Amino acid sequence: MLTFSEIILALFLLANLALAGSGRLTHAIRLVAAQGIAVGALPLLLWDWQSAGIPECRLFIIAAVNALVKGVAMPMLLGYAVRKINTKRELEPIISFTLSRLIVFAMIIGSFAIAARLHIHETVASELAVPVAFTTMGTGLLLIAARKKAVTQVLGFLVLENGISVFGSGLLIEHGIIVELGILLDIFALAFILGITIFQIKRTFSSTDTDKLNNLGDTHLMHPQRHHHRTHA
Amino acid sequence: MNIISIIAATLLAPLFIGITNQTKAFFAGRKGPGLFRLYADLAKLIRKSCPRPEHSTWIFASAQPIALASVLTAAIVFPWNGPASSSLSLSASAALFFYLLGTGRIFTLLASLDAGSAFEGMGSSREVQFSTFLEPIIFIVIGFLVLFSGGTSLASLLSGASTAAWTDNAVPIALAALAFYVVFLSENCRVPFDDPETHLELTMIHEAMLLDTAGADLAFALYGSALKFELTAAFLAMMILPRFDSSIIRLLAVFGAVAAIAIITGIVESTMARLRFLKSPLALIGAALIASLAIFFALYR
Repeated sequence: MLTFSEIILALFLLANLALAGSGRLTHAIRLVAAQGIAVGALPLLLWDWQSAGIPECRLFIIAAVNALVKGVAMPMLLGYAVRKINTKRELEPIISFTLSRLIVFAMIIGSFAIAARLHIHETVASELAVPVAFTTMGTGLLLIAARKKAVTQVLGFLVLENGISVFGSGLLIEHGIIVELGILLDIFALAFILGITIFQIKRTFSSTDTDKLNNLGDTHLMHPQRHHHRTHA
Repeated sequence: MNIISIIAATLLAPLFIGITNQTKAFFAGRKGPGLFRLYADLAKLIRKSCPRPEHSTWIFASAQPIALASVLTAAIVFPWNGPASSSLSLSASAALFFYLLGTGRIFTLLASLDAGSAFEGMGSSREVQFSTFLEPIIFIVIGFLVLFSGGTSLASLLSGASTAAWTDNAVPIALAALAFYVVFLSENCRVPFDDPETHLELTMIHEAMLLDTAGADLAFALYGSALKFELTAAFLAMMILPRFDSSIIRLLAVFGAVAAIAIITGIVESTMARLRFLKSPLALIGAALIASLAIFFALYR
């Protein structure tokens, strides 16, 4: 039978393909926001409403908080960062957009092949959840590794996290509300720190290209006046 | 019944172009040229003589009639009535259908090269580049349909799924339909890939190939592309629609779906900008990946 979760998981794969090929940062943020809301809704969609009845209240709370943090708060924070630092697009990715898309597609093939050999049919709520989770994690890693802009790398981290959540809700792993909220707080703090880092990189180098961090060193200091305050070892 | 549906299809073809244009006019706040504009244009053009470029050969003179003939053959071969179609369309393979459309393209290309204009050469070069990217998508979609329906003839590919199989496979069907819609837009030179309204601009593809075509030849070319629009839309419609018992209801449903696709195309053209030329191959590769995704989903379940 066709289920909502299947549609959501198919959209997840399409969003991964789109993320791998999109250079416009606002566009990528919107895609990640959509993924975040889907991640929030997924546990409710995978719940067996007919036989298990109405789930406990905390499932709704976790879904709502997940969707709010991953789908609304984080994208707003990153959108603010993008507007503030005035970076519109990823210009020179380390791996080109077309190639990234093909890599994500190869990941889809690989994930389906691996998931078919895992024999977790008894515990899994939706057969598609496992390959989709693997692909989403892979896409997140690809975005972290193959992009230069700090914003895109933060997005990659969020996508990776989304993949882990899909894996968790696909296998019906229950952490309890404290653990879930703890994970969310972790992500939020990390995105916050990364947001501040982006501003700092931008202020120092007038660009958010993380490659420039490789050139850091005493001889390459951008602000010579600070040199006096440093103590040399 | 088969003859009637083929005649109905050939008569209705210009109407769907009119529906798309009227939708675009609605979104632009214009009154629009009316649904039947293309009929009037065709009636006017067909009575005119065909001035041809001075140095063009018999290729240019014969190209448009041959192109139209091959698209018409595709319309005859097309299984308008599903399993109740004539034996000719029941035995035709899907590859035959798309290569008949391809033959029409080849002759349009040859004519535009024969005219010897640099502009038309550029248009045909782009047309060939796009169709290179389109062919794999078409064959992946055909592969999905073969997997799904079990047969290889065009009629069995497009016979539609039973209601149970249809609800089971809604997601892969939607993915394949999405990929084929991209094929449809590019094959018919619609907006994200080409703009049918940009006459004499550097970005156009299909119109550039027809710059030296005039009179009755132009009528053939316009009617051919309207028919191609209808045929590819009907292919897409038959991919999506479930199985119908009565062939009359089925035919009406197909024409209704084609009209809906024409309206959607009008909306897409009104809300989207044309893709940068270098971006188009990326979009087409994306469509090929989506089509392969459909196969994965169908296989995995």
